[in-house]
Amino acid sequence: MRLIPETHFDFAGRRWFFFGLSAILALVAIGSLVFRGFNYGVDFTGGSLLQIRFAERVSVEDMRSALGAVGEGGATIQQDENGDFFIRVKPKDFGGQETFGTVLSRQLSTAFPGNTFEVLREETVGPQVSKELQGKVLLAVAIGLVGILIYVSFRFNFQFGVSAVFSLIFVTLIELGFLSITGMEITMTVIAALLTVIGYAVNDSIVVSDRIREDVRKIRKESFLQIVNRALNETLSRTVITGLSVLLVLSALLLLGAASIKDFAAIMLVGMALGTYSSVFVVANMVVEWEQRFPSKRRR
Amino acid sequence: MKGIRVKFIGLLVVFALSIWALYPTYRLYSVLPKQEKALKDRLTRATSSDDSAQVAVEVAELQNVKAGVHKRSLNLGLDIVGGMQLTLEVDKSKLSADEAADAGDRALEVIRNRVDQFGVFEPVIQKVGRDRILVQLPGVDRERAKNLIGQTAQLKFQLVQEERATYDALKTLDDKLKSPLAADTTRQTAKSDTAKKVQADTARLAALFDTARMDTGLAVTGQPEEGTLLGYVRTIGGDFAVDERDYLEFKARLALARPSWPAGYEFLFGPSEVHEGGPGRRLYLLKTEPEMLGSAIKDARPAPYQGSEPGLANTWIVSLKLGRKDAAVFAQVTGRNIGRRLAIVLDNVVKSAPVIQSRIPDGNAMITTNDVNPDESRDLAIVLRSGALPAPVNIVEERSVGASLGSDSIRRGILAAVVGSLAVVLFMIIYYSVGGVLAVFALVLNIFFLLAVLAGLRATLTLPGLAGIALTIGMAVDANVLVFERIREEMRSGKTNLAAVDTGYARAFVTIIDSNATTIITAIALYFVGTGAIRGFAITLTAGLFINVLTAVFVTRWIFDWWLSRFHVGKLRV
Repeated sequence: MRLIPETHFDFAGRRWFFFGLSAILALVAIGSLVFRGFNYGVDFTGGSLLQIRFAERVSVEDMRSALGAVGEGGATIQQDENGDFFIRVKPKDFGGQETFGTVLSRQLSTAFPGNTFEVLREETVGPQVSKELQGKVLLAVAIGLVGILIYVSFRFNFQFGVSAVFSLIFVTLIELGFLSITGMEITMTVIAALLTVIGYAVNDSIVVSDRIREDVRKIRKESFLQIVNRALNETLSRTVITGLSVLLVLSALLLLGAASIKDFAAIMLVGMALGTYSSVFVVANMVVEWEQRFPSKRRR
Repeated sequence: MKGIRVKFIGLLVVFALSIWALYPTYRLYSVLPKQEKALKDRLTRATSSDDSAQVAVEVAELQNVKAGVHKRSLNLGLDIVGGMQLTLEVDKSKLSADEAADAGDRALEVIRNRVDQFGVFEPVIQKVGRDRILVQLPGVDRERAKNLIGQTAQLKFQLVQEERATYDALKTLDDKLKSPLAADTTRQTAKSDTAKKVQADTARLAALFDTARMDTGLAVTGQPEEGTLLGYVRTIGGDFAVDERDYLEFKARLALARPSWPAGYEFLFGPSEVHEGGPGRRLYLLKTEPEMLGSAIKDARPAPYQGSEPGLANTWIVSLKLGRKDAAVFAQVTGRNIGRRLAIVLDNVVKSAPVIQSRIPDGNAMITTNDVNPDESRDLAIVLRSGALPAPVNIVEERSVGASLGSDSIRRGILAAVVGSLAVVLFMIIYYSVGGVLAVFALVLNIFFLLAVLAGLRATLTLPGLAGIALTIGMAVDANVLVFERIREEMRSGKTNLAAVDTGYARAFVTIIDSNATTIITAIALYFVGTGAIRGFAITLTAGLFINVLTAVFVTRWIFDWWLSRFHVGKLRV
């Protein structure tokens, strides 16, 4: 069985169209990051998160007034399709062994007599810890990128190294923009998804770069642009098949998984598309543009 | 073909090792929960108190087995099974510089001591940085954990009852317990290995009492019977003790007999320690009323022995200072009880039970350790100070996940993963026929080996860890797609089956190595910089990708070669 026939798309020839498209995407992402920012979870802001399940459904308004009674009227309240409440408050010292959970539990038992509830989850993160975490995530990603730059520059050349890293920054940026626009809560799970996306994007960039490198060595008659086009067309069937396989798994997770897994799958889905797009339209095209402006000595 | 045979045998060996590594995990998650449930059912059906007492003892036995299996299996993280994670910070603002110096160690000692008694499986208690402590308690709910961590430490000094009185007390308890336990004969015959062990212990105990009889005129009438409290008892350095594996069971039995304990006295255990006969805990009978509280201690420091006793030269001692008022009390206590032992009890664990050598009038005492190594004296000094100088801890981070939330999301997650994987399996087999079957085989092998490696590393599987596995699987599929697309290309250019497979693998190999290596580099960077959750991701990913190269490139290749050389294959369909 074969899905993809031999193709002859002129990917590299239309590179300026795609540079433009990428630039617009990047601008939208940056705009959202600047003006909307993130919906940080308690991991990053500090504070408390409670997940509460009632035996009988309770309305958001009633919950809000119960929160007002304990001096947390400004809390963020979300209710999912099962009626579970997700309540977030800023860091605060409730004194002694008391936490937001114990204080609210007491209030809820008086406010809703006859309705039982269960605190499914309580997370409290101090402001100090959350600040450290932010720094660590950024540092980890930065060091990872430097590692990739060095390895790719060594195995391929500097142009590929820079292009690969640039493409990863692009993917991360757009993905962050996506998180900002959708207002998805930034939790550790989201960070894990983001790292996974970066992993896939690296993989895609390398596969494409590798084929270009091979064809450059093998074929001497054609121009660099033609060779890149050939390489991209040759790897197209692999790109589609792999993409399809991952898509199958992710759609299953998206349709059947629990809430936290859905977020993960959504981020991955966007990230997969981005990684594939960027391996072709950012990495390959950057290398072409670079080669056209500053032809390397190896190719005469 | 000889080379191939060696390779397959090697693969089989790795496979067998993996099964061996994963067997405890299988037991932990599929066999033991069933037994636990059966016991619970019996407990609800129990009609008499004897019945429920019997079940309580069996539950304790099962807990022991579980603890053993737990140590050798792949553990699920808090975010999956539920439980409690706390990060504590030692509050030094009210301590002087001198007191603050080892406040972190004191807090750690207190918390470890408590969690140890609590019987939590696989707790994590770590110092992070200088004065933070990370505590993870899987399967423990919020209330219990807070109770455990939140209280201030209780240090007491209690007089130890002499061995003979302890023996008599146990004997009395056995006589009282005898009737209900002896009735259940079926269980005792079924557990023949336990019976054998009990007999061996009994012999040891009898030997002990042969000498004891000469010294103290202790009358031992016959040997202790199996299934009795005395049947469990052995000795560590002259003290009564129980084996670590019997500890929970023994404790449960002892607790059942609580109403019959000698009035004004209580049984307490020492910490777990390793001795000739394996790990065990000392058992003490103590006067319940403490002679003195830990707050009496003004200071406790390890110091080299400087006295004139030749036997103690070069050994370490703990030097104790007491407050003025407490010194008078201590003088009385020590004066009245010369030759008896005074136990140092931290949160109901007997940390040490030194013999009172003489009356101590001035509040400056010394505890000898008979040890040239300073470790023991240092640990004991920390224990003594932890009662005297509480190291207050603040909770800076707290996470609790109810097990119900955990199990609900696990069930849906597993269903989604299974459906998604089946879809990919079908797709690969339809699209690549024989090649697809090989790819699926390689994928299954990859996941299997990866889980075995994680179990072998005693890693804990968290949600980010699962994300790492997801990325591994994705890259494994991609590796096979790369190979097969390459083989197809070679076939199209008119090569023979063997040549196409050969060049296909050779070309794709370079790509696969480069892409896996780059991703491993990222993973390693994440490991060294990241915190717990990110590290979980990095470990599973790194291990997964190494295995990926082995299974997706080499194993499928071997099978291809074997298949093409062994059978007459027409036009290869991948």
